[in-house]
Amino acid sequence: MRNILFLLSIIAISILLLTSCETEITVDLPDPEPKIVVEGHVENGLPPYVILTKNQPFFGGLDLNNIGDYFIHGARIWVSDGTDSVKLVEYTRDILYALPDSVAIAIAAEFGLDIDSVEEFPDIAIYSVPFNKLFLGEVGKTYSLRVKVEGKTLTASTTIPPLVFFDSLFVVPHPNPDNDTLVRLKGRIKDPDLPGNYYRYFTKANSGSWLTDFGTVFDDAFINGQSFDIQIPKGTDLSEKDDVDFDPETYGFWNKTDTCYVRLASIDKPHYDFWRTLETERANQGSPFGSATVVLSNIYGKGGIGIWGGYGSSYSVYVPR
Amino acid sequence: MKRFFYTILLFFITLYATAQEKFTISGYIKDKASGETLVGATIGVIDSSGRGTTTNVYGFYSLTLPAGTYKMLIDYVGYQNSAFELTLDKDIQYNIDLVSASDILEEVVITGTRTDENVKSTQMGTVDLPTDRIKSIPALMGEVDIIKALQLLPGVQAAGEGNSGIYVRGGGPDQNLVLLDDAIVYNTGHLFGFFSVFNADAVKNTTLIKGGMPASYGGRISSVIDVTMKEGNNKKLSFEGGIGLISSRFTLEGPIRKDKSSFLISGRRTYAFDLAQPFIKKTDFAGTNYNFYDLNLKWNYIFSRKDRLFVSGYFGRDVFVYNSEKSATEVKIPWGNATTTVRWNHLFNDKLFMNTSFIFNNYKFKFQGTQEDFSFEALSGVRDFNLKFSLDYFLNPKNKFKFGYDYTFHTFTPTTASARSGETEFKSNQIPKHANEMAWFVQHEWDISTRVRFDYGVRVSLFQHVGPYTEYIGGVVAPDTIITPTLKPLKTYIYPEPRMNLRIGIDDVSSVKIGLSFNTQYVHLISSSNSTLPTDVWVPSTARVKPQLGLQYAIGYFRNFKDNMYEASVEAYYKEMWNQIEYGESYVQELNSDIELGYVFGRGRSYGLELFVKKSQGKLNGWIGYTWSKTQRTFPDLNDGKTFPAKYDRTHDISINVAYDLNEHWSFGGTWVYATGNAFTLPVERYFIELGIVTGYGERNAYRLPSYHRMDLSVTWKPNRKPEKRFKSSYNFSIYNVYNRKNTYFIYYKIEGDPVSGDLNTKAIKVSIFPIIPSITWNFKF
Repeated sequence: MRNILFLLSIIAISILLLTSCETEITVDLPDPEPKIVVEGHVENGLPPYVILTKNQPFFGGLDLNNIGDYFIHGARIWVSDGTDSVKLVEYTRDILYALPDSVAIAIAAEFGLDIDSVEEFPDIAIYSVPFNKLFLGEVGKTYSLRVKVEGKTLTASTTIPPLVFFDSLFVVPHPNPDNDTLVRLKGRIKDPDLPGNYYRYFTKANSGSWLTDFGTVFDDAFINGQSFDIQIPKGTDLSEKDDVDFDPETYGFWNKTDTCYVRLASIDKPHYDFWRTLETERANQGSPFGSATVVLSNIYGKGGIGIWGGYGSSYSVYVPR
Repeated sequence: MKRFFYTILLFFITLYATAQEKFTISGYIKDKASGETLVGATIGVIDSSGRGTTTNVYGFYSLTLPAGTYKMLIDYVGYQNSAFELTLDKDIQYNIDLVSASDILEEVVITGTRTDENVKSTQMGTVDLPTDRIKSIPALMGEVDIIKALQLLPGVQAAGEGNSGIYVRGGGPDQNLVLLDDAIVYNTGHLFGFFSVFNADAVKNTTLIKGGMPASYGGRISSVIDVTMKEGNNKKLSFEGGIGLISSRFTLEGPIRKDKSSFLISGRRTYAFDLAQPFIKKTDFAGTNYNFYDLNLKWNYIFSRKDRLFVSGYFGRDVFVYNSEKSATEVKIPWGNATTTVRWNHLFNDKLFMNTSFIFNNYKFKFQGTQEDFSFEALSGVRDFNLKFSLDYFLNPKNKFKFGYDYTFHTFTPTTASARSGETEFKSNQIPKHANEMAWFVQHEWDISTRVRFDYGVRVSLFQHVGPYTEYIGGVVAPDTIITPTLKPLKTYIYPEPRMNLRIGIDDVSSVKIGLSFNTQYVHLISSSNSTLPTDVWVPSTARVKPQLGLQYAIGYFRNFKDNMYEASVEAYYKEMWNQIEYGESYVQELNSDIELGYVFGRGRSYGLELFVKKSQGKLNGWIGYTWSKTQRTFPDLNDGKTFPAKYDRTHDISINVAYDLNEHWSFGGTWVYATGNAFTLPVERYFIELGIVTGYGERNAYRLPSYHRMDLSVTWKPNRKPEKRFKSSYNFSIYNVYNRKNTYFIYYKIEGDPVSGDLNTKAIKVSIFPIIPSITWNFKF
């Protein structure tokens, strides 16, 4: 509903495809300027973490088996909440060697990786709070980030906004009676009175992983202060973008027997802008009417892009009767 | 202002005082068979003095000459010349009938324009295209399209494959003033721009002004496309129509009272998707349909020689309906224009001609969708009430004046949305914006000598964003509103717009012309995509959105060869544009925020060279046009502030159009076009966020699509007929894209393989939409 243009372009494309023809063309491009991609979050009750990766040429191969090559090691990273500050330490696969294979494999599965032993685990790096320090995200606080790596200094700042809870979760049957094993999940939410609330949600079915979707953020411009119902489509594994099934018959529906977990995160405006532009950019890919949307990063410093985002998360669950 | 008019008055009086005994011949020049007035027909004295005039947009002429006897020649493209002898010893009212070449079957008629109009007028960058000429151009799917015909002229570029949007001298599609019988047409395309809204059967004449806009036109900084509708045959009832592959047309016209009053009704509707209905019915998408239609109406009444009244209307709609039973989704999207013009022409005397028009126009786009218990509706559009008043004063053959006043009250509706989910209702806080637009103009066409002619004028334009309006300020922290009452101005802009054109004759067959024009534009349509879409919204100038300004200089050399058999010209132009508008790089469409907040502003510049050779006489006629140009933009907020090519930038553009009339049964047409590929922004990098791929883009418009070229051919066959029968018919066979060039419509990127198995790869795929397309159309008339 947010994007009429998108719908129209689908319509137009389907008309055009009746007579269209596709040919591959080759594009010769110089490699892009190397950048540090920051993906870091701080959430209420959890320690902050940061991942640093490298950008790659658009027209190049990609092999997730070598995903370790994309991670950046040896960065110095500090997080501060204004009064207290912490220097993050780098956790690599070395710590997995201390764990039994079965645990390591389970952790790998969380990252979407299918491995048989710890040795196959990619050489990734995750920066977080040292084991011996207690530093957890708190609602209402502002967190600043400073990264020093490869001669670059990057900074960012984010907040954890107050939590908003679902009043209730409920399901409605699929409109087509033939699909009586599928249901649509809805949640009732009461938006706070003041405008300027932004949300992102994640879903999880049963014991699966937390998943996102193609449109995971919304704001209260339309619904400020109201109590309203939103549809909560079941998440999609975006790392397998090619296999996503757009059948409107099943897309976003939950199984009747699913235990549905929903995480509703309050986010601040720059954090919202990041996801909003990122999701628009993904949606516009391949549309003749779409334009190149530049993703709004909240990372400052030359050669840095990405997000440093705070989440004020509340968790709800719907258990089928 | 008052003082200015006094000065002009004084000037008249002086001119009068020096005049000898002079008389005026005036009247209308018309088509003999239908009584239709002819726009831009020339009437002149056959001698070396070059004294003559052309009919104005209402078909009226007035020529004042010293008493004496003259041989007069009347000329109009596609018509037989007419000559007569005139003894001028008093004022004469004389209506002249010309015979259309197409009404003469016995012989092949050599037709042509006023022999040396190309060289003698001051007009630069101006082309008149009578509809008959347009019909000889091969058309996509057989749909004759006047806008696509204009795309074949130098300096004019198609907005995209099969698209009826046009870019004139580096200007955007919203910078063209498109008029249908004086009414602004805000959306000129059907079916996402593949067809224009003008039904050629209802159109008499199309004038394109791409530079040196006279002061009587304004409000856009690039060009004027002035389309006049036929008035209706006032001699006899006639019916004409055509049946094509995707649509059918009919036109009924005739006298209500012969020579006094006539009417015209013309309609067109597509049925391509209606024909597909039986197949769609069996699927889940039963009820899904798309069609568009146009209806043109005109009525006129000649009260007396001095007063004429015209009422014309246009109504067009595109309707798209999408139904999916499975997902319980229903979407209906209607959009279109409606215009109404009431025009009164009055002759105060043989030299003073008045036109007053009242115009109403309305462009609306609506989206209605429901899915289960969720329903959504969005509406946008623009509505104008417009008054135009102008006086043509034909002082003598050397001096012609035009004064006028335009007033428009605009109402712009941004995308206002409402939605309902179960029992909860949501409404966006978008409210309409209102504006006053006014202009006063005066222009003087002055033949200083037989060699030198100077046309100059000034237009003073004013634009006000007025209440009622509610402004939300203070943002999230301290939301507050400022309420402006009805008609109270929030922001006012005033600009004087000087215009001038100078012609210096070198000899009888060549001349040099120089033009300068400054234009303002107060309404804007910004498109985030490459073509204009019905969802694109017109917005007014406000405190934040400043008026677009354009300053154009042009110089040209015009020469005719072989006794005016060939016309040739070279024109160079340079254009500076200020307050140009684009969407910000990270703009995301949001229903609840004012669209103007997504804009960024900057400067534009365009320059180029246009070559044109035309042969308008003989069995074989046509033209070749070539344009070299460069169009750039510089925006502080785009491309890191670095200058980039505009999406309207085309380095090379070639158009060849040929028509050949073999005999009374067979005629042939052909076109070939070539253009440098569109500039576009290429993705250059990707990175991971949450293990999903995100794309980063390179420099704005730094890359080019492959070049565009295409050839179209057509054959028209008129079967034998008995001369006594009124019924005439013809078959038109046309082939679009004869050599099946796979031109790029858009590029998309395909990710193939699986990142886990390590063979993922990204490919650029170009999509071509129109392969070789043959079509047939049957046209008839009785």
